[in-house]
Amino acid sequence: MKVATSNSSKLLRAVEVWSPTADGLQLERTSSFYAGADAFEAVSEKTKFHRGNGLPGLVWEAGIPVVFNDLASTDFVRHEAAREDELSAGIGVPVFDGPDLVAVLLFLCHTSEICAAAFESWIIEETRNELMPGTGFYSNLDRFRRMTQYLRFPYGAGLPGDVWQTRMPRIINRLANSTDFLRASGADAEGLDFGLAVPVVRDHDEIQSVVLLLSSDRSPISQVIQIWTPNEDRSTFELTSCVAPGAPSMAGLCHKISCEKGEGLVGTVWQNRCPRIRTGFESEPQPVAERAIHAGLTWSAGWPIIAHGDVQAVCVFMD
Amino acid sequence: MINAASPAELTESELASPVVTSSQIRAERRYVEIFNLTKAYPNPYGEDVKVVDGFNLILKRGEVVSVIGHSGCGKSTVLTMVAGLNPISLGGIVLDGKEIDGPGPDRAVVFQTPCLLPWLTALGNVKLGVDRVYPHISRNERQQICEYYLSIVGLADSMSKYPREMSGGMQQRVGIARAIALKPRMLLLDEPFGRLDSLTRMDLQDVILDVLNREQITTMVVTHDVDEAIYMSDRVCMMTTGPAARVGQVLELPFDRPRNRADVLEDPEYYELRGCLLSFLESQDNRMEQPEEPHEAQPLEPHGEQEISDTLRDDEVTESVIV
Repeated sequence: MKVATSNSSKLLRAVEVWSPTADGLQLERTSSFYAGADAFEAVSEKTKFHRGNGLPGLVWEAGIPVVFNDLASTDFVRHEAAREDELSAGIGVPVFDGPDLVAVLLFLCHTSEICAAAFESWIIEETRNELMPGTGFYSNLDRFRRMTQYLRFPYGAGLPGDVWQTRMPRIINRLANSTDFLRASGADAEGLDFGLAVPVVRDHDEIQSVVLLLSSDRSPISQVIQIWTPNEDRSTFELTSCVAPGAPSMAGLCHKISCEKGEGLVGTVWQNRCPRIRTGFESEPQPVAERAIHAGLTWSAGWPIIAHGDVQAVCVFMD
Repeated sequence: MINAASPAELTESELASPVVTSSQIRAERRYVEIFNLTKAYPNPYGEDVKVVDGFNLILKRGEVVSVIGHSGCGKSTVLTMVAGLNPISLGGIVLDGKEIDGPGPDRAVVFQTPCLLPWLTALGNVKLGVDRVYPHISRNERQQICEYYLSIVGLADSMSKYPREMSGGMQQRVGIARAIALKPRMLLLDEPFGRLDSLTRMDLQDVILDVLNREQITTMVVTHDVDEAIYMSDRVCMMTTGPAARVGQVLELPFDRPRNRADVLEDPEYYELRGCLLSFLESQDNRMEQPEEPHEAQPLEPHGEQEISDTLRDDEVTESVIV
């Protein structure tokens, strides 16, 4: 069964990958997808960012995820196009391969009255050895936002602390019933259904922050979110975790499919060690391609988590 | 000179000094480090039962941290390990740069029941510890210390009374005076007001806060009472339900010290913070009722409405070990 989501209820309107240019002085767009954000797409094609410039440049400079709550403000370089296409908020996440930034991944969204979603960046406070809230975006989650500002998660505690400890991304479905999502009551009260937590790894094994993307089944971040991890001898990547409010048949593929290096989106991201966005599913392994097309999905994005010199996991978004 | 390095003196002098080093600042900020603290009890039928598993917490110097959680979750186990009264199975506790390996005068504990020696007066009970900790100062000075701390807990006129002549609240005041008179680096309060009526409880909360503001003692308070936790602490550490309990999350309270009860209660954030604590405890309550959950949560039936009381359980605080 496909969850009906009209374009107006779609949360993500643009996903972009910005990578350093050959001379290493700027960031250029290397991969992208836009859902009804034509003006923004047109401007983005012609834009490059210096370090500290715009959201990608700020992420590059800070080395940690940065959330912009108002894309129409002049702080956001592409604010005019963002306003025209009704893009309201976004998060930029750095992707490192060792000490080097390989990309900044941007998720830009349009929010409406029915969207319950949060983008959170949790930063490690070294003297306390705990995660404290960094920048965050909350759509229709007023109380959840207010309480989150007072919360801290020690190493191993809650979803952010668990991801910090395991150094691996994690999906939690049914947040309201989860014993591992400690803000379950808040999620229940304000309609958050599932979440993805991803560690931002730098210098091979150093974690400075954890990103949380939380949303509802009604207005999901994307219809499918997957985590792929390598098998024991690292010869293939296997689908190990999945939430698919818009394509339930995809969730049934966990631990049943794998891909080789270079095969499909996951294999390509594994090979290139860089985030990638694709439209269409023709090059995906079966039955992923068949089920994605059947569910009416049109694009996918792969986000590698690189540590100790290897890709440790790939998070995939499909919508 | 009673104690060359009392916390209050050090803090003031270091703040006034222009040459406070970064390592000193770091030491102040990580005054108490509890790392991967684990308590396991042997189980003749299988693996050891871990009551507490991987408890991590750092306290700044002078900070008051409440530890809250359901009965039997392991709060008092953590406290007794910090006190050095309960051996640590795994992990460690470092206080002011020194690892804890047993009880010592640098940590004072106030339990739910003060357990005063019935044949000694209030003064005699306080003096017992003071004589042990300060043998190098004169008898007169030791007497002055005892009288001073009994007076600041409001017992200036009752120093000669025996425990049988005092109410429960007064006896607990003696217990508090007995603990702080040792000028500990860390004060550990284990449900100190659990057996007192509401008015006495509030009164003693203010007494302790007054002492802590004055002495700047780093303090851990184990409590069941969310209002007490919010009123008394700088931070509230919420423990998950055991077995294998650990820190769930920490709530950083936005209220300045010294505290005024009316101001705290009237703060618009107060009830939100209270709700946050209760929500956490409610979710842990649900966890106790649920079977072990698979890694990927499956759709579950919604829970019925549950009433939560502010003081979650009236029963005692020691941990039950299933063997």
